[in-house]
Amino acid sequence: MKPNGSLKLLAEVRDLQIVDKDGRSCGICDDIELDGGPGKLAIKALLVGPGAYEGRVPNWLFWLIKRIAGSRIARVPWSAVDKISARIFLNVTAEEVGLRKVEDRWVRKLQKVPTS
Amino acid sequence: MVRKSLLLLAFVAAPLAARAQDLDSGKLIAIRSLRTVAAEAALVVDLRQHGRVTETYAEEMQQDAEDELNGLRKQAEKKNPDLLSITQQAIDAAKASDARALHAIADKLLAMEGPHGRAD
Amino acid sequence: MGGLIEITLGIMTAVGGFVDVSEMVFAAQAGSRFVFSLIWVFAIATVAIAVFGEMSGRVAAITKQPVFNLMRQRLDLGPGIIALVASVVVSIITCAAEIGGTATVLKYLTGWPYSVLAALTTLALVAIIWTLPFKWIERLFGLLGLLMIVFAVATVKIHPDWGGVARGFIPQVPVSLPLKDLVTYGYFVVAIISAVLFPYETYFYSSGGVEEQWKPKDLKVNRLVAIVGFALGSMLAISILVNAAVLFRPLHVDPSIVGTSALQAAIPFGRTGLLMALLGMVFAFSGAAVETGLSSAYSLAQFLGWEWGRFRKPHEAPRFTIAWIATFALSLAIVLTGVQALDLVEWAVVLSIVVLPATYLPLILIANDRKYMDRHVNGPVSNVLGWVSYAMICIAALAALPLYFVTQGGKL
Repeated sequence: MKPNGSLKLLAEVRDLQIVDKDGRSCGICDDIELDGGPGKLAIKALLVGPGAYEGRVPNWLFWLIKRIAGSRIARVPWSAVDKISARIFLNVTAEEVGLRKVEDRWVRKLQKVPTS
Repeated sequence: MVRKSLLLLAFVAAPLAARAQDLDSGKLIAIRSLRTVAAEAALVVDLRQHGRVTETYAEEMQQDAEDELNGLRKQAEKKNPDLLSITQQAIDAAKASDARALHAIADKLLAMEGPHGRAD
Repeated sequence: MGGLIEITLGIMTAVGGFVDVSEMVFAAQAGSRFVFSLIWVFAIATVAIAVFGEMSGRVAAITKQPVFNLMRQRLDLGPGIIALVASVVVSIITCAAEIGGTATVLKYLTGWPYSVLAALTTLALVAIIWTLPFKWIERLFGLLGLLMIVFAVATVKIHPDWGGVARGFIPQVPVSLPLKDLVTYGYFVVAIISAVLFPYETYFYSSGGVEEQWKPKDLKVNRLVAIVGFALGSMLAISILVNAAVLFRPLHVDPSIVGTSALQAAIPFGRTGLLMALLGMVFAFSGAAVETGLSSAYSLAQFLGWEWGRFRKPHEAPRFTIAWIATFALSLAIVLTGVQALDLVEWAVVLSIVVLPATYLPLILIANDRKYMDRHVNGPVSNVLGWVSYAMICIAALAALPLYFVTQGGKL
């Protein structure tokens, strides 16, 4: 499915794995930002990060998640999406849209461990 | 739908639970646990005497059986004092590696289980 | 020729990896308490796990996604988080049961202290997972676990009533049993279904499919391995049940000590049989510990979108690496509290069946969805068997907790 095709359901995009143009995992699409009005809604951006859970889970659960994982949100503009199948494929690298910050931080930490 | 199913299940389970408790389940469990540990200890001692198991295995298994029996003794002190005597007999027989005594204790306990002993 | 070797290795790995500590415990007790009348439950549960296993492998091959990734999409976020937490908790408890079981068996082999063996087992498993590629992790434990075949050979040697064994495959309820025993029989039905259908099996299997980069052309092999491997593995579990019925029941033994089941090989074959049985148990249980430890990390990483996989170096999938190491650490901590391996087995089995419906529903839905699967959606056979199995799981899930409490974990 290409970005200018019509999307009938939020469920077609939300909660899909995101993969950047180098094939690296960049998190899950935790929510989407919409634009437009009745009859002509369009996706503006993908939202990635625990902060995007707000409104999708009960308040108490979101409070707990915030305490454990924080509330950061990365915004991936719709123009960065190349195609969508069982995963969302981007036409940019993760760094260009502010993704993989936490993953890459942990990569640098673990690289210091011998034989890893 | 799920709530209704759970209610239905509770309806079925509750009288079942009550009925099961009527038959003094706690005591039956205690007798059964004691019976099988005595029987397991007897089996290990028998096989050890016939050279069918390694010494390390037999030592460790007998120790495990004794630990189980000691645990059952503590439970008997609290809940089923009428089982204390036979539990102590089992402990003594296990320490002495007396397979015959352990088999006899297991047989006696099986008889005490009544119709639940070996329902075929 | 290479394909035949792959298939053979795959089947042998599935057989050697089928029996874990919970299946061993329940199979032996089922046999000594209820003779052959619970064989049919193993058979039906095996059909279910083969069907779900094949589905999860097919999903991995076609979507290039493991089940847990797609589960979040199907269940939505809130229920998905609950399923995630439940499956991680169950994996940790199950991993603890397997480590405890392994340490117990090693104690019978070496005479060393249990806690020391538990710690050494955990360290060894972490080292093996850290260094070996995925395929060889699977194969190492699966193939060495094949030593368990001594139980099946023992079955042949002891000449059971084969007619009775065959009749055990017919679904039955022994209505002549006193009520208490009938209720316990019900608990065993639920426990066996749970032990055979542990969710970690499908998570691990589908993650493995992505690790090994299965493609549509691998589907026939996947189907063959799932069906034949699980069927033969199930025969091993059933042989443990039959041996217990023939050897333990007349001696009034309902195995309550982990090491007792190894006597099924000692009675016909002496020390050689005993050693084979114990070594087989070490590899079967520790193999299951590896699967549960990794599946906990797979679930977390896949749900949250982290980099994952043993096909990557540890530092390339850092949070996944930390997750599986943390799982082993937590499991070891549980074992070192001194709680009995058999108690852990009971909790793992009961908690697991309660979450099973949430595990398998998304799998059937995804495997039926053309949007994901294209022309490789479920055929009529997979669908009928899948939905019937699912209904069975739901009934078992509802009955599990009441039966556990009434029978005090099958002791009644």
